[in-house]
Amino acid sequence: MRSLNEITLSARVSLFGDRKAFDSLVREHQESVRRLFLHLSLGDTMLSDDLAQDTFIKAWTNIGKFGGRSSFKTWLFAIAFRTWADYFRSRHEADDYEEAYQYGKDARDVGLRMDMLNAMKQLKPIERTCITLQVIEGMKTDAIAGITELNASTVRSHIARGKQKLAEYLKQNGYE
Amino acid sequence: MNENSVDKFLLANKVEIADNGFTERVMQSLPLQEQRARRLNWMWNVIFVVALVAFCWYTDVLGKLMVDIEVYIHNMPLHLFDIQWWYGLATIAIGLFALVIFGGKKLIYD
Repeated sequence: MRSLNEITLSARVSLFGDRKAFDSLVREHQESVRRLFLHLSLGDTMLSDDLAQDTFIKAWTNIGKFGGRSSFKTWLFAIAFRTWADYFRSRHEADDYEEAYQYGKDARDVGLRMDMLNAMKQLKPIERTCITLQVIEGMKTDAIAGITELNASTVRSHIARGKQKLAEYLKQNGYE
Repeated sequence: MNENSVDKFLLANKVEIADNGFTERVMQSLPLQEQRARRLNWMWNVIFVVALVAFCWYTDVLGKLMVDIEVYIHNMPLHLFDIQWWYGLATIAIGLFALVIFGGKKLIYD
């Protein structure tokens, strides 16, 4: 989605409460937001969808604060990150990640996704966040720094340390 | 296994998530009152500003105010001990202050 289109859509939502415009924005970004929460929650699909829904409701309520200084996706991820941080502070991290089965097509898929989620479990939540945003969502370090409210060098450290841990874990589990 | 291999592994196992009614559920759970209130608020702001500008232009209230202020300043030495004069000046100052502060606040926060 072009950023001018996003600015136009968000302006329509902000000024006129245009639900159709917001529907377009949700459809465009729902997969990325839900996937971020899926990684953070280690495969808990119900929790991921609940948190993703909360994120979009907060985006709707605070759409007037999106000034177009960053992309809409970056702004949305910042809300998602804060939503996760609030949840994480109030709850213990989930150990049950068998929900991964829901997104697998066959046994091989399920096995791979379990390995990925097991690998992700080796990481601290902030490492998981930074790596998911950089590798899966293709975001730049500066954007991730803005989302997580960390400085860029701290983000790079988390990514480097996280990838090192992932590399060691995957090697131990037979991946080359 | 190196960093590139880790990236390839993660991208190869990128989870695809179909909408499956998620967007509809989000749209159904949006607070309606917020949307209606926002729209009404915006309309009232526009009507108020247009009415205020039309009133000021029609009555030339700003022009008259400037003349009054000029007269006050010009006659200041004569009115230093005149309580009524100070009262009038204070009323004008408070009115302008309130207009700037509350109008500016409304413009910024709304």
